[in-house]
Amino acid sequence: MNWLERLVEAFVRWVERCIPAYDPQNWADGIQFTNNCYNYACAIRTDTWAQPGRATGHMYSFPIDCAGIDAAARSDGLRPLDCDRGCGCRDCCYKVALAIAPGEVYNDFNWYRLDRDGYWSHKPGWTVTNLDNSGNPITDPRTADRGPYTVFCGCYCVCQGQVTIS
Amino acid sequence: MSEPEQNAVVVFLLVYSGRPDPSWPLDEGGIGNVAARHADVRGRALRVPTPPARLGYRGFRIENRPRVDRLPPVLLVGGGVVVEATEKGDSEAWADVAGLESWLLDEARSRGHDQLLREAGAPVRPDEPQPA
Repeated sequence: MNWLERLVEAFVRWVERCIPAYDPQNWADGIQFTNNCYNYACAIRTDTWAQPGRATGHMYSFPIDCAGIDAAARSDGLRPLDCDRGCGCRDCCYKVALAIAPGEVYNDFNWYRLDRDGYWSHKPGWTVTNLDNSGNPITDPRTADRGPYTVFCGCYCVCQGQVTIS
Repeated sequence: MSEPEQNAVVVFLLVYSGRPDPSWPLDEGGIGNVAARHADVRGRALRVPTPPARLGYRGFRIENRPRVDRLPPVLLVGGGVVVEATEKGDSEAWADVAGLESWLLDEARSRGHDQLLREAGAPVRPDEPQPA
């Protein structure tokens, strides 16, 4: 390996230090029952089944829609982002995405996160997976089979030390 | 999670990802019903793979908080499968030949969750394929 390859590899490792690895085993052993998709996307364990906005006094209201969860998530410190762009290298950040189930009664949100391996993963209920509802690896949550979470809201950056959830 | 009775056998309807799932306590008759079907499943069925994680309806979790002798600590029921799980995540999966999921779906509907189940993509009967 020449000096240029070593330099590139070092740079890639430096960028990747901020991006979570796909780690379903770290969301098992009992804690999967007290931490939800928002905990998983933010990579913060609270054991409270975290709700957007609750930690910062801007809990969303019902019915759940993109605007309500967006305001709550921004209040918690998530930064909105064009899904076709990255979070940059200035802060230590990684990308997450939000989708909504807009049913009259079945009204919910689901968060995805982009892992170091280039695939998106999420925690639908109690199990972490990087597959969509058709069993395919999630390369883009906008086009993945999201089941009843038919409304895609957008992407955000989660930056180290700048997000508070409960 | 929702705030169920601390010392009861509690059923969680597994539908949500972000919000807490609906739940309700099982009475003595319900516990007996689940225990009988669980024993039937364990006695007769072959072991099968655990259903994959997915958005929408996934099934039920029965949490045996008071440690009733007739039930394991945790039962997961859905997709035609009964999974006996420990709180630490070990599990065994069995084919639901005793109609446990069907009975739980009827229970959920009787508690007013009919529209929720429909919108979440639950089967009318568990042996019907779920929507893609």
